[in-house]
Parts: sequence; structure tokens; C-alpha cells
Amino acid sequence: MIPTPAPAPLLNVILHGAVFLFVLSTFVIALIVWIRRKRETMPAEESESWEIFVLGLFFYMVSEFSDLFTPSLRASLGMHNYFTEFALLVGLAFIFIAMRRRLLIVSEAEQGEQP
Amino acid sequence: MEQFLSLFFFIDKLPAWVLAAGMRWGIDMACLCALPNFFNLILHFIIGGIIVIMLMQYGIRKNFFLPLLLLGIMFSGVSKFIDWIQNMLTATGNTVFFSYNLDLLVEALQFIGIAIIFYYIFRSLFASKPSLTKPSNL
Repeated sequence: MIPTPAPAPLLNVILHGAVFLFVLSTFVIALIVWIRRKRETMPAEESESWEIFVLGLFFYMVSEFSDLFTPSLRASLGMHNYFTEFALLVGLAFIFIAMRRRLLIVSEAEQGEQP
Repeated sequence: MEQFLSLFFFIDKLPAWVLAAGMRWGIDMACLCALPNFFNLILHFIIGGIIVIMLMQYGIRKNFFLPLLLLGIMFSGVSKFIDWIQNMLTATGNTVFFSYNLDLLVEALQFIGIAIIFYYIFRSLFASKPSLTKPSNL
């Protein structure tokens, strides 16, 4: 039942690699921007949104790293699937918490500006 | 390599009755094939629902932040649905189901979905300070 690893088609490897590299680069960029902006005395609530977003990206990146092995294993079962999917679950949840926080902050700011 | 794999795939170590229950009911306790994918699918529905509620609350903005975020989560959700189907076929079948073409489709849809999501969240985060934010920045 355990699938033996086999060379995966190049296209599958490239696409899995592209998704991983995309998330990795987004994570690195977000981390650098957040740290640089934090030094420039970023407001606390804005910094929190960035923090949650970066944390979410980290989990998403870990999930995609694990998913890199799926084509060569020709499956995602057991602990491999459990790890991949739950890391993605946590990452996506954090990313959307950050998005919602940001939206609420902006919305409150808008209401404050209205006469 | 076999030892490394057995860390990830403990399906062969499980008692036969657990495997039989998993295959019979698709409850997937046997190999954890589709259960995590199912939770991910539910999360996509929850996030989609929250975005729809927010759309009703805030309306469609000038730069379509929320509708495009919804589009992103729909792409990602469809990819997770296909992934769930693949793993469910393993959970309820007699052998491991894996299709390279479906795997490509899953990754491509996920790529498009997260590209849209990340771009619009980044744009929102890069907007000016909240006190100076204009409505169009949403």
C-alpha cells in the first residue's frame, strides 16, 4: 500500500516548485517589509495585521514545502497528507484573520473621517 | 527510505478492522487520506461565507477588493475540492489513487487562487496609515 518513490514528470515538479517559491518569496518580502516598517514606528494595530499575515505565510510555505514531495510519492496519505493539509489550514486561517483585521481598521478609519 | 516513508504512511501498521471501516464508510480514519482535505474544504467555505457577509456589509468598493478576494478563494477552493476527490478515491478504494494530470490542475488552480489573494492582501497592507486611508484604498 505504501507507494514507492518514483521520478515525477517535470511539469508536476516545476508547478509544485513554482507554488512553493511563490509563497516563499511572498513570505520573505512580507517579513522584510514588516520589520522595516516596524522600525519606522508603525501603529500597533497595523503591525499586528502584518504579524498575523507573516505567520500565516510561514505556515502556508511549510505546507507547500511538504507538498513538493507529493508527485514523487504519487500520493499524499497518512501523516504526509495530515501535515500538508493542516499546515495549509492554519496558514490560510491566519492570512484571512489578518485580512479581516486590516479591513476593520480601514473601515473604522473611514467612519472616523466622515463628518 | 522505507523507514522515512513509514513515518508518513502508517496505513500498513493499522489493524485490518480500522482499514475496513475506513474503506467501507469513507470516514477515512484508516489512512487520513481525505479527512484533512475535508477540513480544508470546510475552511474555504467558511472564509468564502465571511467574504460574502463582508461584501453585503461594506458593498463593492472601487477597486473590487472583496469580490477579487472571493474569486481567489473560489479558485483555491476548487483546487482543494479536486484534491479531496483524489484522496477520497484512495480512502474508499482498494489502491492508492493518484493522477499526475489532476495534480497539475490542483496546483495550477491553487497558484492562481493564492496569487490573487496575496496580491490584494498585500495591496491592502501597503496602503497608507489607517488614519489617512482613503475609501478607494480598500
